[in-house]
Amino acid sequence: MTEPALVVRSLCKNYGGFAVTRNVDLELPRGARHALIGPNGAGKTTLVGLISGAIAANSGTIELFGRDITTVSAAQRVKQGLVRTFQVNSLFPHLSVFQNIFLACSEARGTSQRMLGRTSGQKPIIGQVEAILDMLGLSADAGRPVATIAYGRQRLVELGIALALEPRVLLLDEPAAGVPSVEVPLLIHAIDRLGEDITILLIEHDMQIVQRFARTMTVLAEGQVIASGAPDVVMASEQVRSVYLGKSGHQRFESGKAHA
Amino acid sequence: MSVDRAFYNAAERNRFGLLEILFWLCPIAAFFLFPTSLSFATHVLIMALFAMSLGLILSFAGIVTLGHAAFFGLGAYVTALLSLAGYQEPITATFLGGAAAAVLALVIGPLLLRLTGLPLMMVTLALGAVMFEAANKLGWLTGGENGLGDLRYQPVFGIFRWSIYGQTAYFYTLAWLFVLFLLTRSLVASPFGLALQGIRENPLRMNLIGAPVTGHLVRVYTISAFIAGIAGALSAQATGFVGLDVLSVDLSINALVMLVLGGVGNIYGGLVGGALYIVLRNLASDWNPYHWMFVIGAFLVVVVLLGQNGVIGIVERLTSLISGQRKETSP
Repeated sequence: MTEPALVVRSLCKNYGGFAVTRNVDLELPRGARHALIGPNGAGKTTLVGLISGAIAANSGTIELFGRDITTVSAAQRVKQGLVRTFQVNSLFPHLSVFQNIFLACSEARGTSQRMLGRTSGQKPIIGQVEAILDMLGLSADAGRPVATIAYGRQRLVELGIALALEPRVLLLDEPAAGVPSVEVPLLIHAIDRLGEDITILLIEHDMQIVQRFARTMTVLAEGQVIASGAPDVVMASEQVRSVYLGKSGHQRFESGKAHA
Repeated sequence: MSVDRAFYNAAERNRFGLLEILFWLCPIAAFFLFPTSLSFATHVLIMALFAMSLGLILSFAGIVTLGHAAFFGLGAYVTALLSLAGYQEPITATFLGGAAAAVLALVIGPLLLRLTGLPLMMVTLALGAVMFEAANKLGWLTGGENGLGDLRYQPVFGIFRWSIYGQTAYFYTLAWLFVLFLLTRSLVASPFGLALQGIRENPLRMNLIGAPVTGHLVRVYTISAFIAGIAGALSAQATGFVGLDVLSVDLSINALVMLVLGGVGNIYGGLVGGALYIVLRNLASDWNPYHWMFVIGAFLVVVVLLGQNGVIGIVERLTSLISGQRKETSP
């Protein structure tokens, strides 16, 4: 019963001779709040793609609650509770906010097979959608086409779709990217309120969000895990500092400290 | 104030309002106004039904096909061959025509619907051409260029005989049209209908929320083929004749033109566009048998320039102007 939620072992992905993911190991216990950070091009989004099944790995294994899902299709992984959000919005632009989330609820519960009966008559699902809209503060925008609402709020819809799929493991790929700073608290608040039974892997650049969210973290650079553990320990590591900030950045960082 | 049904699914906006009742009174009025042109009026209804079947997959699921006549033609030939083989009960014969088309869609759909856009258009175009040529070569079965004539059917319900004036054919076709319209209307308003709209908007994302995208598409394609097959079967029954033109590429393309003319995105688009196209073509060819395409072309250009969405789009804009409720539209 206590097997970890997600285990990644020796995962590799090459594009031709170029290794994007090199021997990545990752283990998330149930209910984890794990952050994945790394400089641009470290292979973070590729890793999310591999775990979610959008990209096929060259070697290595992925286990979800003890079951090997390495060769399972992306759609089937969703059915098994492994859900991701996207860094760049990938929504249904001309459908309303309500309909976007309804679609996800409807697929998760198998209602999308129903050809008889109006959409407005699906009371249990409508209730579920309304609860999600309420939680994310989207109720006021429910009837508007997604393409017409602010980008930051579209990110919330993205999160809403993920939640509608009843995730057990949630991969959040830079949820705050492109969100105006005034709307970031809304997003953080929403993530804070996610149930403890959901295991979360967060990819994020914004260190403030990471610090607030993460209980454990992993640093990725050039496709490799260079450090993993509690945030203070990881961030204190010399190697992480030099890789994450770059050689010159590190020097600036140090000299900044010296001047202070 | 109650929430507009369109909030849940834009396709639920269609319900029996005044405009809708007026619309369905038109074919009844036509019966009394043009008692001598009933066979032409029946043809109008059949084309409206065919355009509606294409509208179901094009408007709601985003399937663009240039081979929809394959289903129309198959339905027509099956019903005709049944009659020649001695099976002349009209309702089941119509149904079997539709069922044959549905089976074809169910077989080719899983392969076809993995494609989208231009490749899908080319493959469906090729399939349509293959069907046409096959019917042409299989003369022993289809009559080739001579077609299958002198088709007879028993009276509908054993009461209504198929007369030369075409009253029976007209009401028989209208009844099928109305029933299939109700089916289509309820289909697009269902959660399944909304899922189709999701696929139209973003098939990749639909897959990643765990939706069986190809499965959904095959199902709606099969239903659409069934309706197209019924339209073909009705044309065989109404005219008592089936020729190669029921499989022609022209027919597939005309159905697309009808939809654009009527309006995409609304189930009435096919009905209005189909009827308008046939009536307009008839009037134009009366006026000038050589240059009728010019009239259709000019009309199409005007409609496309005027409205964002065919005649339906123009009507919608007018009604919203009249009622003063200016819709909040996206820029």
